[in-house]
Amino acid sequence: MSITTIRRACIIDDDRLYVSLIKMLINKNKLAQELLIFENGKQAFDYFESALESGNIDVLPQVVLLDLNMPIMDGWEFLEALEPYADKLKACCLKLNVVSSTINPEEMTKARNHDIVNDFITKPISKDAMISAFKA
Amino acid sequence: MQNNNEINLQDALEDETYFLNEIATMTQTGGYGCNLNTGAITLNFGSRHLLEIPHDYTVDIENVSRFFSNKKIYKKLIGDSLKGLSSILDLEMYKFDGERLWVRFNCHPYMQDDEVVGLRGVFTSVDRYIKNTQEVENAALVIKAQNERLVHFAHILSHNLRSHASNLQLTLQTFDDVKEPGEIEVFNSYLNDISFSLNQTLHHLNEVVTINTQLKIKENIDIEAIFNNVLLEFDEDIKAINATIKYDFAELLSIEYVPSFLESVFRNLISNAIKYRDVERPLEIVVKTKSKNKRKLLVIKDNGIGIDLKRHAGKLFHMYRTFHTNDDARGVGLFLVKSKVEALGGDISVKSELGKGSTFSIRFE
Repeated sequence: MSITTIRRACIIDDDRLYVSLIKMLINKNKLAQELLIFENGKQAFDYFESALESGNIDVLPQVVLLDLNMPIMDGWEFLEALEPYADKLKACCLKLNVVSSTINPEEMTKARNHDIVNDFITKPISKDAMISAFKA
Repeated sequence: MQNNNEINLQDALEDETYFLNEIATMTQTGGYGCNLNTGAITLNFGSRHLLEIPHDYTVDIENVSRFFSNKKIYKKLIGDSLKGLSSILDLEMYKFDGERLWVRFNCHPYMQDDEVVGLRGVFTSVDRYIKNTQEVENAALVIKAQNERLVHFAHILSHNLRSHASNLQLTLQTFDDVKEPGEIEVFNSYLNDISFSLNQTLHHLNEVVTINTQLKIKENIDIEAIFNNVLLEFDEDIKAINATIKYDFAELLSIEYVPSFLESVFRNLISNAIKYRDVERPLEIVVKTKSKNKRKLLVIKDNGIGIDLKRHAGKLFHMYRTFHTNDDARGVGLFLVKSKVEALGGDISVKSELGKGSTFSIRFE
């Protein structure tokens, strides 16, 4: 599988060990030049909102790996908060992937059918799944 | 003589009054009649018996409404009858002493020259059936809530175990070609973290599972003694942050409860109050017991950061994923408290205002 390096990737997840592992995988396989990391939906949304409101879309990531189960603002609430910006986000080719260890079929379908969501990936995320998530 | 006996027997066997009385007794039924010209109300023996009305008490159109718990229904019944309409419905009555009684009640207008001049009908007790239905409905609600918690619990269980399994798999994958001693050290530390978290998860899960399986032996316990014991565990924290803790158990000094459950309630709520204190002001926790009518309450109030209940009310007592490497057991504590309180037939509720503090109320059974 050929590997593309994107400019900026974003991880929204509260599991620190998982985040450090993904970080290693991304760096090792040169999947992204830059990495944004947020511990919960609220931190990520604040970043996205200020970028979108100020028209500074250059700072937005190209690929997002979003966890569902997080404190303060969970993945669903984050998606809901982003809803008003759905068109803008699609226009700048953002690929948002939900990555979760949920095995609840309802949640999986809900994620796959979500307007902004590109794909649902089950944890543990394999190296191959990572690479394909980063492919244009 | 022979003939007379035969006639008496036949009369007795066909006696309508006897049948009516037996039906009234067996079905707990009473009859009434109301003369609209005079306002007089006649109650038969069955009615007086059912509503436990003394023989010397006169019921008339002025005072009869006292026997109906819902005045609107009473007025509609009278109104409909005056229009010449018959009614039959289930309604709640008051006995003479105020005790409630569900009856099936009918009312027919009595006409003379196209005018309603009287009302009459019967009512029969359906109290037993209504109460049984209510009990079944309540039991169904409890079962439904328990079932929802079990489903939720199964999801969390699989979610948490999968998180650790997935981190383990990811770690092995990421470090598959590691040879550098420095990297091996990192690799080992990750394995250590995962093993620690997995153990912690199993410990929490074990605690949840045993709530409903272990024998729950209630003892008469001194609430203040339990409280002070738990408080000792937080001694250092309390001194370090200069917190004030006030308590007053005068209204309810002791209770029949599982000692370890009450300890757990205190431990979790105090630990939360410390964890979510407002750094702007010194923490103050007020703990009280209350005893109102048959209700026994424990109230724990703090002046911490508070909880945004509009956003979190639904999942506040839910267990969500917190058992990972962050070592932050938020969510688990409240889930455990709720499960323990409910396992003993009580419940827990919370009131809170952001920036002001939170008040947790535990109702013991």
